[in-house]
Parts: sequence; C-alpha cells; structure tokens
Amino acid sequence: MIVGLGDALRKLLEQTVLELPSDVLNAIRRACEEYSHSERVASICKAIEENLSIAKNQRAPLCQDTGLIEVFIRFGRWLDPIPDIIDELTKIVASMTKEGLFRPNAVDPLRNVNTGNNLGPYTPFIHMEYDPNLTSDIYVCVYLAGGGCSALGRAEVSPPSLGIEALSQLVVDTISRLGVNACPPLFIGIGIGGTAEMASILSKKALLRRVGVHNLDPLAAEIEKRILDAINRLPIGFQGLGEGPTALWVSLEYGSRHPATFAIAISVSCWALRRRCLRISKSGSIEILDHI
Amino acid sequence: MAVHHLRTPISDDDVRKLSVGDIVYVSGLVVTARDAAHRRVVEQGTPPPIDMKGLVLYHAGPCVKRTESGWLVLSVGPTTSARMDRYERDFVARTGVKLIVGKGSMGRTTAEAARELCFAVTLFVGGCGALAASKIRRVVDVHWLDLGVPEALWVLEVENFGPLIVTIDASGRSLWSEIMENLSRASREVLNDLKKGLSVVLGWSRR
Repeated sequence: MIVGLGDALRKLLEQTVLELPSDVLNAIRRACEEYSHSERVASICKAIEENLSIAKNQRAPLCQDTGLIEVFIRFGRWLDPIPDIIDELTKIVASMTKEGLFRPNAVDPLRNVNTGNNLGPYTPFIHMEYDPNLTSDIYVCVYLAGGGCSALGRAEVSPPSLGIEALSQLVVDTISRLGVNACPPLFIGIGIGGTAEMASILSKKALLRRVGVHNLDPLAAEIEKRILDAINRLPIGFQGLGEGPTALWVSLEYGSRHPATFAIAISVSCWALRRRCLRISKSGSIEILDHI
Repeated sequence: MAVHHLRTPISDDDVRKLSVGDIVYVSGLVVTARDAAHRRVVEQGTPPPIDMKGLVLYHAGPCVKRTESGWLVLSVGPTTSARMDRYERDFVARTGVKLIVGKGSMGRTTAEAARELCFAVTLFVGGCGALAASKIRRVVDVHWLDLGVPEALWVLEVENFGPLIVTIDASGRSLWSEIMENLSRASREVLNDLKKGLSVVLGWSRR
C-alpha cells in the first residue's frame, strides 16, 4: 500500500465532515454580505458562522446528517492502488462512525434496520471513471449526501423534442415544491444524457465542480446561467423564509443522448455542500483538494 | 419581532405569547423524535417512554459517541419537518409537547392542530448541528435505540437553545402557507420564461 494512504483518506473524510470547502464557504459569505440588511438573514448567517467555528474547533460534524457516503474515483493508466483505496476508505468510514464523526445512516430498505456502521450493499456508493489523460494520478472525491436535499433528486427520460421544456419543468417544479425543505440557499447539479442513470450520475458529478466555474462549453454555461437566474426568482431564500438567494450556483454536465431519448436529472445540495477530493500521485505525493 | 426565553415545562400561556417571526431561546428538556418514533406512537399506539407534557419535540437525529461516562452528542441539527406532517396532530395530542423544533415547511393540518392543541412550530437553522450540540448540558436518557441512533428518542437537557424562529403560532398562522402561496404564483411565470429562454439559447424556438 502507498505510504500514508490511510492517513490521507482519514484526513480527507474528517475535513469533509468538519469544514466546508473554500469555494462553498465563499459563496455563502458573499450571499450573507449581500443580504446583511435583512435582520433574519443576518441572524441565520450568524448561526452558520458560529456553527462552522464550533465544528472546526470542537471537531464536531458541522451537520449531524453526514449523509450516505458517495465516492467518485477518476483514474488513468495507473490503477494499482484502487483496491487499497476502497478497502481503506470502507474501514475508516466504519471507525469514524463509532467515533461519532459519521452518523450511522445506512438502513436496510427491506427490513428497516440500520446497519449501525454506514456499511451495506453498495454502501459507500462507489463510482469509477476512466480518464485517458491521467497517466500517474488518481482522484478520489467524496460527497456526503444528506437526506434533506437528497430528497429532491429526480431523473426522467423525455422525448427529444420536449427535452429542454422537460428540463425547465423538472428544475422549476422540484425547487418550487421542495426547495424550502432542502436547507437553502442551494447548490444545484443538472445532468443530461441518454438514460436516467447517466443523467443522474452526471448531475451529482456536476456538484463536485468548483462553485463559480461554469461548464467549459459556452452553450452549457449559458444554460447554467439561465437556470440560476430563474431559480433565484423563486422567493425561497435562506432556510425557505423568503429572504436572500434561493440558489448559489448551478452546474451542468452532459453526455450524449440517444436519438430517441433526452434524459435529465437534478441533484440538489443544501448550503452545507460537503465534498472534497484527494489527488494521489505515483510519485508518492498526496494532496487534498476542495473541488475538482 | 420579539425575543422570548422559555423554560420547560412550557405552558399554554407561554405558547400564546409567541407570534410568527418571533425568536425563541429555550432551556430545559428537549426530546428528539423523527419518522420511526412518530410512527411508533401514532400508528402502533405505543405510549412514549417518558412524560413529554410541556416539553420540546425536536425533529432531529444526532451524531453520537459512546464514552465511559455515557453518551456524547457531537452534532444535532434539525431534520426536515415536512416528513412528520402526517403524524404531528396525533403525536402532539398523545404527548402534550408545546414547542416543535425542526426545519422547512409544515402544512395546513399541522397549523390547524397548533391552534386546536395550542403549540408552536419553530425553525432552527438547518445544517447547524455543531451549534445545536453546544447548547446541550447533558444527555439525560435515550429510549428506543432499537430504531437506530438517528431515529431513537434522545432526551437532552439544553440551555438557551436557539435562535428558534417561530413559523407556525398557536393562532394557526403559518409562515409556510404564505411562502408556499407566493412560490406557486411565482413558479408559473418563472417556468414559462425559462422554457422560452432555453429554447432561444439552443435555437429550439418553435415557429
């Protein structure tokens, strides 16, 4: 096993549970500043800041819902450490659950029994992706999917002629009906592809991208901007109380569609978007990144 | 916007002083209960293991650590209250809780029940689990651990737990019904504009 891999993975998970990534924190602070004239927003922002400092100083999860753990691994020509990474991560998740840093959230859906250690079938959920440009690096990203905002996840497959209308409808319906319950202001991931699961995975992957950075495709970037503007006309605001922005960022990822399908999906994160990545290099260096 | 400091047991008179938009800080006993505990009380008719009259019902499931001296709650922010909507009238009727703490919306049935049974619904900022845990003086007890850590009934002694924002008061007024009405009005126009805008961007405009 790579020297220091276990320690690095633990640090990755601990930091994800205890501290917000810098891009997420900056987006929240900007919104707080912009709406500091509102007494209610100011008091919510004060609670958020106090919470973040207590979480960091006391080593307490910033949110008790530490989610179901999702892992996105991106690899290239160098594959050897992948089994160690997954085995090690699984062990660390179980021990951090015992320490109270993860809440036991894995429930057997057929028996309604909590497994108690955040492990179970397909849990943690692991997604792997091959990137031919990577020669000697592996990226391991973790995303903590809390229940309140995961409840907004939707995917559907529409006929191509109705694709963009269906996408508009999916986004506006989901956020206007359920947005108040997902701890707004929100971060929104959109996926477009050929099948429901392709679109779903892409919508979640979109949330790994740095907040403030648009899709490199200018057309996709324009869609992101239009959706963000639209959502911010919905009077949801901080905690659903009607004041301040409803969403802080929208990211879109797309893959090919089939001639007969236009699959769309939405993944929503609360203001406490908790994700982080590890870059592991063949040279032996391991680095924690706030985003990809 | 008034600020209130309450101590459990909370009386009907205490609750009647609270209006939508007010801020509350509460001290005393808070009991967590979410989906499974609500179902156990309301659907299975199991009496709650402690007398909850006048206490605070907290929609929450904590991160905990078992130590030699007992349980330690590391983080305990609110969960989405809407899931408890369908049980809340009966749950309050059977337990006599006077203040509910959660996050997000609760519906008309709960607002009507608040008027009939004299209780209030409040919001603690979602995601602020570490802040909430810092207000706990001690974990008094835990019941129904067979439901799992998040779903168990945690009895917590808190000091100045807040700020809690009143979203439904005992007159039956609900901030949520106002917000949801505004939203459904706004969403129609937003949807039409977005459809048009995206069609133009992608050159999909219908002739």
